[in-house]
Amino acid sequence: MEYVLVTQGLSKHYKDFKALDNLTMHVPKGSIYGFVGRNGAGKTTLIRLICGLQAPTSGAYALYGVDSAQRDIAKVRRRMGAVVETPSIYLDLTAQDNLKEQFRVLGVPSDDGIPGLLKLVGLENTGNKKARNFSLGMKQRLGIAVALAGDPDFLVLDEPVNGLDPQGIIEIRELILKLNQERRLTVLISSHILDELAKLATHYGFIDGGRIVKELSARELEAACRKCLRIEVTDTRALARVLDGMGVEYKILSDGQADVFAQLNISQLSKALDAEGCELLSAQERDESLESYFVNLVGGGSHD
Amino acid sequence: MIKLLGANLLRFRKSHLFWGTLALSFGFGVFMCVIRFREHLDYHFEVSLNSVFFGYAMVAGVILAAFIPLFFGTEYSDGAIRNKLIVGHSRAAVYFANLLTSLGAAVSFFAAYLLACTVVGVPLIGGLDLPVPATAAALGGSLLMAAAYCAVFTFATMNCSKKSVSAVACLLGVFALLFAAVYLNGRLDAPEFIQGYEMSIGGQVVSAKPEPNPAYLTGMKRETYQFFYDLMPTGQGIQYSNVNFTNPVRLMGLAAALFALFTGAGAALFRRKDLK
Repeated sequence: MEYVLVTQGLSKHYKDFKALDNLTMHVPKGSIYGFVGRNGAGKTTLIRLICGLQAPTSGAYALYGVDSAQRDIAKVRRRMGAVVETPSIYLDLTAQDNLKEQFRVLGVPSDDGIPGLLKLVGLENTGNKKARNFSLGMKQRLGIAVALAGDPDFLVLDEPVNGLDPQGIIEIRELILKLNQERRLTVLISSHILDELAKLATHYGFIDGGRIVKELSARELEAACRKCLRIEVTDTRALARVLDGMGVEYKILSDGQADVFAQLNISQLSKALDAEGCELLSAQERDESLESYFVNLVGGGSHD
Repeated sequence: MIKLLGANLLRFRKSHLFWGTLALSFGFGVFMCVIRFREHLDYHFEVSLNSVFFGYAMVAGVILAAFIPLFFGTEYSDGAIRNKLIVGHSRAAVYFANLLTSLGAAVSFFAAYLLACTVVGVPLIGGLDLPVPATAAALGGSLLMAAAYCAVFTFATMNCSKKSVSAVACLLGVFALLFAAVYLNGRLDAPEFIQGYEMSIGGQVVSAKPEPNPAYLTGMKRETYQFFYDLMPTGQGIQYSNVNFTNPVRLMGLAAALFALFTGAGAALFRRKDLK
């Protein structure tokens, strides 16, 4: 698999506080990588490091295969755009002037691309309105437009829907999906709004205490969070025979427990098990969400 | 760095702060000329453009102390400095582009003041009647002094993430230096001898022989005072504005040294700074 970003043992310490602790992660090309963690877990610190805003205490990262210690990393950064925490826009300029400014920073010779970018983020009708007077959602979209000014392949968004109203959240979500699907952008999104992330991400990285505790694809997560019926019986071999007979998918967890991935008639199952000399002790429906998966993964300790 | 300079110049074009400061500098030039003209009209003083033309050197520090932190501090307060670094510009390029832009602003403000003196002052109070070397020294020295101010304020602005803090620090700093320069100027200008007076029995005042002034600075102390007076951009400003300087090469050398020192230290600190 080709990776846009790989970090190896990345650490960042602020005096005695370890914001990142030997963090290793892999962002596949073309993915929407959901970077999940509670407040203070180290999400924004990692983003600051890969954006070159801060230097790691130890470890390294590679963007498009170029190591962070190499001089060429500056050239590779030209292929990325980012919105870190708050949108980076001049509040006393209009949306158009903000984009002109970023075009100058990038050395883009012509301003012809500006109307298209404004249309892409839905700010084509803002005219002479200063960014200071924009709503939070509009500022966020302008921040994304500025990040897209260099036509990047890799977009990094730090909490892009934080503080937005439901309409704003939908707009940002649709924009991200559009960018990923139509422009083939790889997107790294940090968030702690898990339900929202679940609607977008193709891959996940769970961070806690400055370390990645789990990386997996959305498909793997779906399998892990699949709706099932957890059944407790006296003999799982008998249960397996019955379930095979019914033609349903299942997974034996122990001598007395199994997960069944189908809607079952409990009375029929109980009768069938009885005929096999097996007792049905309990049946519990399990529906693990991304949220409960995350909580199980990192524990339900106090949030800072 | 050319790209960053282009971006900064675009901000100049759109900045009310820049155009406002430019207008203020022009207005200050007009004001100074009119004041001199009124003195001539009201009190019949002999006035010339000499006493006005380099007056900007006196206030350049205050104007730049307000402008530079407010203009470049916006990059921190609005977060726009991140846009430059994320797309691969080096810290050094960002720092030097901002320093060069601040120099451009300083030259523009000075030019606006000189333009006002030329357009308004020459018709009202006549032209300059200074020797060309003194004019060139005052002009070149004032620009180097402004460059030293830019280096100091860029150092403060680029290494302080809070716009309000850097603006207040720069303004307080420049006023402190201005008061220090006025104090040093007063001490250095103290006469070597003071005239003593005696009252005769008949009530008639007669002069006595001059006596040594205890406040007059001598030896190492005088040299130290003179060194700091020459080193401080505010001290240089007083000397240039009065066109009263004995060693312009020394003043320019000290301004260049200040520029190099603060630029080197500022760029090195900014390179290691953790940005948010």
